[in-house]
Amino acid sequence: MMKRFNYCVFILALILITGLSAGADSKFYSDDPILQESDPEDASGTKESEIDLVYDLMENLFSKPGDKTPNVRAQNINTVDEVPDSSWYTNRNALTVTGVEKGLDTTDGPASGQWTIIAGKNDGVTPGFTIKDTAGTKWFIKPDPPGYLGMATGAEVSAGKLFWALGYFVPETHIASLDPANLVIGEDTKIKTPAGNKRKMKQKDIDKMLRRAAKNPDGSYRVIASKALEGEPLGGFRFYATRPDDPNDVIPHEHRRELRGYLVFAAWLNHVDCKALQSMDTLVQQNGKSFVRHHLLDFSSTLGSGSIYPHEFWEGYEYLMEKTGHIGKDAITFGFMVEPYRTDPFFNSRSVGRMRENNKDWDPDTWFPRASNAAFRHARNDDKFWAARKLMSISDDMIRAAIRAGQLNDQASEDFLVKALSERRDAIGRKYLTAANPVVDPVLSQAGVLTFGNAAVSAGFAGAPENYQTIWYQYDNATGQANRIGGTTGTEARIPAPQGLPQQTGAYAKVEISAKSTQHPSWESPVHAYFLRTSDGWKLVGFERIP
Amino acid sequence: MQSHSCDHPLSTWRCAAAIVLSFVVVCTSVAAEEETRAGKLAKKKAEKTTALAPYKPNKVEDLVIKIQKWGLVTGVGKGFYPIAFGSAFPGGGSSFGAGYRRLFADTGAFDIHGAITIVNYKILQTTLHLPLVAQDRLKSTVQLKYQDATEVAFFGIGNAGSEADEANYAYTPKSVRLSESLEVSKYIDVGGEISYEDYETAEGESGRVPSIEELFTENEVPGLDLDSRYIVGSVFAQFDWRHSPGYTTSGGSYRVDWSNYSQQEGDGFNFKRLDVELLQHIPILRANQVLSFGGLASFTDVEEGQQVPYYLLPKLGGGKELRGFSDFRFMDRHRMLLIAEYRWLPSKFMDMAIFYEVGKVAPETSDLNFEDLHESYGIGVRFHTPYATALRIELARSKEATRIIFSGGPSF
Repeated sequence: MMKRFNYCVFILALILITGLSAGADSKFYSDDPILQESDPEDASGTKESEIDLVYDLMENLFSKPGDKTPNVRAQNINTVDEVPDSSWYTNRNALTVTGVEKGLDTTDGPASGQWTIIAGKNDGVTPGFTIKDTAGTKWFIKPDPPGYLGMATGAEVSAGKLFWALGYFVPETHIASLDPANLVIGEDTKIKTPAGNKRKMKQKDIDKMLRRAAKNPDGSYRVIASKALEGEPLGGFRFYATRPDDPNDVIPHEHRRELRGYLVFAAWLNHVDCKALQSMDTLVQQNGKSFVRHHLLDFSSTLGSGSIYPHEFWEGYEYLMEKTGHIGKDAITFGFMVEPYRTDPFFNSRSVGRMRENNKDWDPDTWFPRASNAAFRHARNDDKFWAARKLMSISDDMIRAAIRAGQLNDQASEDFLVKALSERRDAIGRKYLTAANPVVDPVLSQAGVLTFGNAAVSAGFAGAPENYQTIWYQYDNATGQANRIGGTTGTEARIPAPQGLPQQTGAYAKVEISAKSTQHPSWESPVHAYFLRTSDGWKLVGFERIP
Repeated sequence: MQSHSCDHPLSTWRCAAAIVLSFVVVCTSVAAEEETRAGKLAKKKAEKTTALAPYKPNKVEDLVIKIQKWGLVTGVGKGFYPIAFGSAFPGGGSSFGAGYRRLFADTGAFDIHGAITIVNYKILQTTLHLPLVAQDRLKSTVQLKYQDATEVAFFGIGNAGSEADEANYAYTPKSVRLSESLEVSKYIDVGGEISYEDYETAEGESGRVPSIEELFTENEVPGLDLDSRYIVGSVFAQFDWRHSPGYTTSGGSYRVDWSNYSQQEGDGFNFKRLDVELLQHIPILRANQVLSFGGLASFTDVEEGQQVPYYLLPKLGGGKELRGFSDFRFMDRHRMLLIAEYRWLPSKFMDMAIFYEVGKVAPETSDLNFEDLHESYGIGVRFHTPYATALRIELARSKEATRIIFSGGPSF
């Protein structure tokens, strides 16, 4: 009986060991690298929650919310260092000029004919309202400020298209023409007064809003029409922690790469007002299931536009609140410590606003939003490299297409913006593609030859390094143990593996690739690539630029 | 019970098979969930479903939201609010109290507040801001105000009054006024005001210096012992192209006020008053520094046999005019003040300034010249928003004193 009992125990133990070893914390799983992060849990219980503007600003100016641990690798990336598609982000892999121009447009803007106002705008600094067009589609309408025809609306459309191209969820926006004669106030339309009370909207409210709007030469008003987002609005998302009522939101926002990389894109487009309030979560229903989708919105403070005024000179150069040391130094030097923005030349025009004129020598590390956030503070060089690489896929023609969509009707201004964004893109590439080891896209052939790219060299931002060094390991996925096989060196981005590479299906090989470049010492920190031997050869399953 | 044991030889295998089978089932389900990256993520998300909660603001966030409701950030709050700064009357020090503000219609507001200062000055004020009309260009305000200042400084009348002659008096002005202001264009405003004003004076309550009647006679001080009541009519015109009156780094303001003080229940103290104020701010290097200049002149005019009571004479000295001198240090029928400030901006919320000002009072307009000017200079720091100055702290010096000034508004 004892023997039989022992036998049962043995079988049980065997099964436990065998069964659980597969489920233990392996580095790689059978579906790695994942290309899609799904939202399996029903999020219908999420409720709208407003972010307080003043608190959000104070919190980000005077404290550092979120994870205090420095140098944390992004947590929502897949095993090959990329951001999978999700309710936050979509990789636009086959981007074309036409694609950028069209963006996510499903219409040509509000249908012509009568616009019925269904709500006044209660927040933000610009006047506006919500309409329903004759097709029954809901649009948010915002004009340009007086004296700056095209500035805010053009920036909104152009930046919106570019943020879409970069992979974010944004609203569909169009430049439209508002004829006051076509406006009708809906029967139940309410407006929140400055006193905070809600009352029925009246014609005088429209007149008042339009007094703060720029007119087209024909007397109509140039406006931005922003299509209502799909789903029920839930308020903006914060750049730290997770939304406590969303079951699918499990990665702290400060550790989401697309939110860290947003810093680079915001710098590119001079989006100084990239605060939490300029985001919107919506509860979307698809296939009978509810999930939260996360959007960026309100790009009217991008490029040279400050939404209701041109950008202030300091915007993009420093935070709203300077560092204490800087304040102290300036205080005791009687103002003779002159900041660059006091003397740098600026491009000024009615349709652009005000933007730094010389962008060729611009250093993206010297760019600052009005207030930082936890995701921006956590951005590492691998996050910025990712963003820079995404940005490099935006061609000059794509930039031109996006700017053209802003319909500035001012050739000099359009030309300036295209040139400025092109130069800023290159400045970002020059900075961040070279700041970390720029080895990309490693491939290990069946014959054991490693080939890879160098993003900085191929973009023309750096010369080829003196050589590349590789160190090879046999890698145990279950234990994480790496046993050195050997090292090889080459001057080309094509290096054969040493003898001893495992050949059996299911085996893993790890290779560390570094480059020797006197110009870029940081390239000597190796990237780590992991390959799985399959029946078809070697498959890249892991890549770490900065482990 | 036997069927549940492993005693039978066959049951050993049955038992083992059952264990294997059940474990395979468990492992399969676990594997489906955990042996893939997607499964691992799904498990993490499933775990969160047991701990879902709505967003709850922390205590600081709650407080910030409350402060906004009080209107301390935007100035358009509603409900009850505390007062922990400002002054009930010049020289009274910081005041503490509470207020209540109710907003109505679109742009109307009713406000009532009361405060007491550290030297027992009091203020009770209620203001009704009627909703704006005429495309929001016409502003109407009705205000009732009561102030009680128990020890207002008095140094005699004239430009050469001695500091040693300091006396004090109790002063209780009460007023009800209707004000109208019309925005003619973006930069031009005109307006007028009519008010009923009641002034009571009494022996000063300061134990430090004598009361006014102990040092001065009625001949030296017109209106001594006079409690007066006036109907005051006034008009103004202003060209103002500053960014904001509360804080600016550029632009200017040029304003003229004219008032007629018509005495009620008595005679001998009817007069007219004219105030001219010119302010100019010149930014340097995109407002890295600002040169600010101000000029202020006040004139009173009386018919023969009429006088201006001492407590309504133009004055110099205090937190805004000749800051190195005590409050109300100089008073006479006319006054002039010239101010120059060099301002620099270490922060977008903090300016610093070095200032120099000269001024004098005179019995005749012809005496308003550049002789016998009183000088004051100093350095200060101002904390502000883009539109308003929240706190001004200055160290001001004159031949008589070195003073520290705390104020809630701009110097000019």
